[in-house]
Amino acid sequence: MIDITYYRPESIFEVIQLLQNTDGLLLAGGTDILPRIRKGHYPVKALIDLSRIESLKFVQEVNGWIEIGASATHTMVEQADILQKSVPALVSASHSIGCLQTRARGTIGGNISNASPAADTAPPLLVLNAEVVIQTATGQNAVPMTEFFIGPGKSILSANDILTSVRFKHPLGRMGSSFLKLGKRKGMAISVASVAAYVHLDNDGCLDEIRLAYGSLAPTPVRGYTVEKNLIGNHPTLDNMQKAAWKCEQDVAPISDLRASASYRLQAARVLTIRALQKALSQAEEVGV
Amino acid sequence: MGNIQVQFILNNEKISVKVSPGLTLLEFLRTEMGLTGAKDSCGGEGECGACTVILNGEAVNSCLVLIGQVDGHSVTTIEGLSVRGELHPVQKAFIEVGAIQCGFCTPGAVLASKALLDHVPDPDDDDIREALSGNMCRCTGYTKMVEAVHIAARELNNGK
Ligand SMILES: Cc1cc2nc3c(=O)[nH]c(=O)nc-3n(C[C@H](O)[C@H](O)[C@H](O)COP(=O)(O)OP(=O)(O)OC[C@H]3O[C@@H](n4cnc5c(N)ncnc54)[C@H](O)[C@@H]3O)c2cc1C
Repeated sequence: MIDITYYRPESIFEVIQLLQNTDGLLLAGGTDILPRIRKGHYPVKALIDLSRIESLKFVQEVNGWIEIGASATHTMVEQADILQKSVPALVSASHSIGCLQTRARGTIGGNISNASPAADTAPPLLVLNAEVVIQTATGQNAVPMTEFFIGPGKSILSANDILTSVRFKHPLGRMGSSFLKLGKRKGMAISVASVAAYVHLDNDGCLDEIRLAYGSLAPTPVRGYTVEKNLIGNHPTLDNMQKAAWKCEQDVAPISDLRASASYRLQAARVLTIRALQKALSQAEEVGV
Repeated sequence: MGNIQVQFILNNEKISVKVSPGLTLLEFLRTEMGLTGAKDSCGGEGECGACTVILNGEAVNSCLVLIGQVDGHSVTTIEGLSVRGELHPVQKAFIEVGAIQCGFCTPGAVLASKALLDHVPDPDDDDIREALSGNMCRCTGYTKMVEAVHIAARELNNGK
């Protein structure tokens, strides 16, 4: 048993009030925060349980944007038809998290708010040019995902804010996306390195849009701007991709830890970059000109 | 803080209790209800699956659910699987093929298997391994579990 004060608000308005007037932390799926509290990692006095707020549990498309509520579970994301069709990168990332039990409870909002460098939904959201919607006491802000993470476990969210959704333009046309994760074993593994790719091809088969993002390879999930710059406008030949992928060194800053060494991570990043691009391309190429 | 009121369906019966909000569903089941089928094995990390129960049709780790979070929902534990004393086909199949060794992980593995079969009536080996990937068996009896789920699937599909 943990020693906490427990609130179960019924609306986002109530959540905002509790965040302002108590020292409560938000509780979504609890898959991250409950083990941490139990280990005494942080002294939490109160929890504000989001489970009664149905309006945070959705996946929808409105006016060409796909929006996912903060309390959507990884299982909901994995199973949503529109995501399966249009953003396989996010679907595979959600599918790679923990096990079935973890995914049935863990939420996309909790995954991002944690701001772990290994948060698996972050690289796909980065390559989708997603925005994070944040509700504060004074209003609502939409912040580009690229500005959201500021350090390991740190984001721009302040203690009184709630992340309410993430959204991105519905990708259309000759596009594809992918997510690849290297773990120490097949199931239940936090990533050693991960890569997400998004590509869009023009009528000549050149890359007119390309975005890459990396997980577990820097203090935060990061975009692969250098690799992108080296490929944009070009034909995605293996040679071009290999040359560009080798430059990912300039985008990432891997460390050595108990899971892998920095040099291994870098090598993994290069190889995963090529494979992720190939996978995204094969989806894009299925769409006729 | 004071106790909170929680109402939910536990093994097909409506219950309403006043409990401490700091209790996990696992602690509640074991200490307040005497339902000791769900086990604490990894110490509340969500790593082992021994505390698996079915919450609204999905397998979840009851060590990572606070009791207040089940308010208004439906929970099935291993104790609620048998009907009038007759074991569920998944339970029978686990026994039949010997997918039970020390037994500690068995309730969790059976419930994860049942949740799978409720969603995917005719799973292949990959589906089953995936569904059981969060259930650790230190006796390493995984192959037999996969076999048991196939048998249970056949049994359940015959009944339809
Ligand atoms: C066995 C196991 C395996 C795991 N494997 C992976 C993995 O492979 N990849 C991975 O990325 N993660 C993994 N995780 C970590 C975790 O499950 C995920 O990060 C999950 O998405 C967290 O979501 P949650 O809803 O459970 O968050 P919670 O634990 O409820 O909350 C996490 C943090 O986010 C804050 N928060 C929650 N919702 C909001 C909101 N709407 N607005 C603002 N702040 C909020 C909370 O206050 C808390 O600080 C694993 C966890 C376990 C137990």
